[in-house]
Amino acid sequence: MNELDEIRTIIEESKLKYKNYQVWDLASTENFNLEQAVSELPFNIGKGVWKGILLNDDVKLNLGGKHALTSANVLCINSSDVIHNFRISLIGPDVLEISKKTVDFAMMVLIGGKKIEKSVLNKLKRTIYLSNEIDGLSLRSISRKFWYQISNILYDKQVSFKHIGIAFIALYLQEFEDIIESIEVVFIIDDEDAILKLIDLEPKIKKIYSEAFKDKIWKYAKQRDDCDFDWECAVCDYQSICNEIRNIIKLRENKITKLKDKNEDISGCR
Amino acid sequence: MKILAVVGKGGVGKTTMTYLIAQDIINRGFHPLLIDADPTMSHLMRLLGIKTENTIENIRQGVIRIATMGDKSEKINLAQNIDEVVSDCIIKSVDYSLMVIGQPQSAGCFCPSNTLLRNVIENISDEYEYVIIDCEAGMEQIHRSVVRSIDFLLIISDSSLRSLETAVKIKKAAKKYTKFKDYGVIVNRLRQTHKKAILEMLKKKDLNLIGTIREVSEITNLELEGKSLSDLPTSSDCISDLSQIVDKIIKLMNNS
Ligand SMILES: Nc1ncnc2c1ncn2[C@@H]1O[C@H](COP(=O)(O)OP(=O)(O)O)[C@@H](O)[C@H]1O
Ligand SMILES: [Mg+2]
Repeated sequence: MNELDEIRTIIEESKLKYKNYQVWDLASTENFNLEQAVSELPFNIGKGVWKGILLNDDVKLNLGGKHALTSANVLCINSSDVIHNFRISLIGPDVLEISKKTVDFAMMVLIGGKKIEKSVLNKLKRTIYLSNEIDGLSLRSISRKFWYQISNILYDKQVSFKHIGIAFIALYLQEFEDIIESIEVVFIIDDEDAILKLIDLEPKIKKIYSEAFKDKIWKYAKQRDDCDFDWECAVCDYQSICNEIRNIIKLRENKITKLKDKNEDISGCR
Repeated sequence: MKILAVVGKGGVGKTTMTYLIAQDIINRGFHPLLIDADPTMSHLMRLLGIKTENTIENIRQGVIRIATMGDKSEKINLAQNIDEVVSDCIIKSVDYSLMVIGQPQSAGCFCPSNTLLRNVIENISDEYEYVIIDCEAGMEQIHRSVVRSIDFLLIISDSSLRSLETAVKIKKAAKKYTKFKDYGVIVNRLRQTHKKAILEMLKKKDLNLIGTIREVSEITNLELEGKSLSDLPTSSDCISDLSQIVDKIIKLMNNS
């Protein structure tokens, strides 16, 4: 079985088991227009619209978490007709129906296009790890674990996974319109079995990317200081903040050497 | 300044040993810095009867916030005062000082913020004769966010095969992730009947034994009565056993 078949099987099994699922086939709604759908979203999307850092009190819902399962992945296929263009599927409850603060969470973005080349794979993967392009949706990570967070504000705007799906589709198309022929998003909520299976599949999918990534990982590994992220750092949106902190480190070191010099001066006086 | 890191599988008695070793070092007339690196529930704070929200992790949040939103003067201010800020979050009692690392809390990893705070912690540690770290978190994380080099790595194990295997793994991981000058294993909760087999196993696994502590019924009783370890009778032989172990550790640390 190829990766796509495996993913489809996991999805179908999960659907059968939970019976609680929704499919939004945007393309089949009459006069569907992505631009308009985006303008009707209850939040803004685009580069830099979200700069905040969510502290615990600002978080309404954790999609995945430190002690919960998270899987998010992009699978690119070199053909477009096996992907249901503009389809968003949700297995499990929608955002407003979730009463817990943290749920197990999986998101798969399936992309089809004959023009997709190895060299853009890394960029394609990067988009699901965006943490500043959806207003109120934050990406959190600690040593190799990551998850998404929905802010109180976003929740109060009655956000649905349909909206989040549209947002990701739009963000993808904004950047890769000329190579993406079809795109589909799947969310699975709180189905431990299915999410574990998707997590198991990650290394296999990662392998597809790893060749394309190799150089970049290596290059980045050389410049990073004490980072335990694999290559995620290379796609991290907080790099400018890290640079600010590096400046603060330098400022502090300067201060310490100055102090030392001064102390030596004083002892010299005696 | 000598740094002792107490490591081991969850539940083997790291925090208990940290506490008892700290008591012993205090009894020798030193004022140690205790670093609680348990990211979840702090047993050490409970043993010491302390509760605090002032953690290194909170400071890290502040650093990230200033780096994100602060203006230039705030950043300069931060660089000049960060040592004092961290110093202020240390709880100082007559006998010891306690620094709590706390639970990671942020989007992104912001590795340089770890580097910054680690530099500060190393600077502050210099003011103490002994620093004892209760490393509930893994070695990798200690190295990244607490200190880079350790004088003595004290691995706690119980008498189970799994825990001894963990000890081997910890030693390996520590070699990879951190600089430590020496190490030793305490087998905790040892049953006399198992002693021989365990000593052989340690030899086979090439682990240096530094001492053993038996299952102490007084500790279990205190636990059951909800009392603190500070009520452990000084006559309990685990206290003298531990004192011998501390003797050895101090000698080893001073030799290296
Ligand atoms: N030598 C001992 N005898 C009896 N009980 C012990 C002994 N050492 C530790 N314990 C008990 O074992 C439990 C776990 O110890 P703790 O120090 O919290 O482990 P860790 O910090 O490694 O998770 C505690 O309830 C503690 O009282
Ligand atoms: Mg502990």
